Amino acid sequence: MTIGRVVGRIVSTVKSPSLVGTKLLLVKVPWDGQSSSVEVAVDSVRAVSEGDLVYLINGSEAAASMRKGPVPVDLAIVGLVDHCYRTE
Amino acid sequence: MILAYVKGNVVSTNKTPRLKGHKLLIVEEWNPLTGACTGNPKVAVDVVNAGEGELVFCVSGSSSRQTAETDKKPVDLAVIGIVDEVDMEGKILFTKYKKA
Amino acid sequence: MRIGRVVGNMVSVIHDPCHDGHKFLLVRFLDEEGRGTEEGVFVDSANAGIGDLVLVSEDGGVAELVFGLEDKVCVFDGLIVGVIDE
Repeated sequence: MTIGRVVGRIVSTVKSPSLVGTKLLLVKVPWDGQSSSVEVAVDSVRAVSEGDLVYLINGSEAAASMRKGPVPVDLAIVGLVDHCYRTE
Repeated sequence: MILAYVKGNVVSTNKTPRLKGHKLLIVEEWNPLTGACTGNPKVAVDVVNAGEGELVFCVSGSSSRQTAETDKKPVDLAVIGIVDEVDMEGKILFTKYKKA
Repeated sequence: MRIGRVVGNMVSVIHDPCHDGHKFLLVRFLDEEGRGTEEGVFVDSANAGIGDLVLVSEDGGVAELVFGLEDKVCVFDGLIVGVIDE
């Protein structure tokens, strides 16, 4: 899993039917790095807004967080980070 | 998932039978931080009927086979949605429809 | 499995229900010179602490086996399976 920061959202009308009703957010990963990239993630927590620090799961396990069968998702927000400590 | 612009399409006659009937698109990843494409075009299978010039989002890896169209097909990148609007840090970076 | 060093921890109150009661640690993977830049957040099953050298499995299925959750919906992409002594 990785930690990222929510920086925005995207709106999409035409999408794969299993994605209807999901919130799609733009997340900067890694949240503090110089070489960060912005990716689209599905919000499985449904309590996330712009500016929040979140942790994400990538790969095929991301779809499991939505609990609705096969979904074409490779990055999902699974939790809000309240506190993060790192040495150095 | 990544944001990408559709740059064109690919026509292939001789291909693995399981890919028959699928539209293949050339997509180039778009970085909202710089507003530019990253210059690394890839071929993706289209499941939403996207066209050239559209901003789309793509799913990669085994997750791209989790749609009804790509189930059990040899696919590792699929276009799964057409983007209408991108809103980042309070600014609208991209909108498909011109506002009056 | 990969070798990494625990460089921090993470606390989350609102999260996926299958993550309830688990400890999250920040792991920096090491290259052959003992440095590294790649980082990840992993669930701990070996009572590791900050500064420890750990063994990390990057497979969600392993986490399901270790926690005995094979029949439940699990959202793990790996876990810390051991602390390296030497």
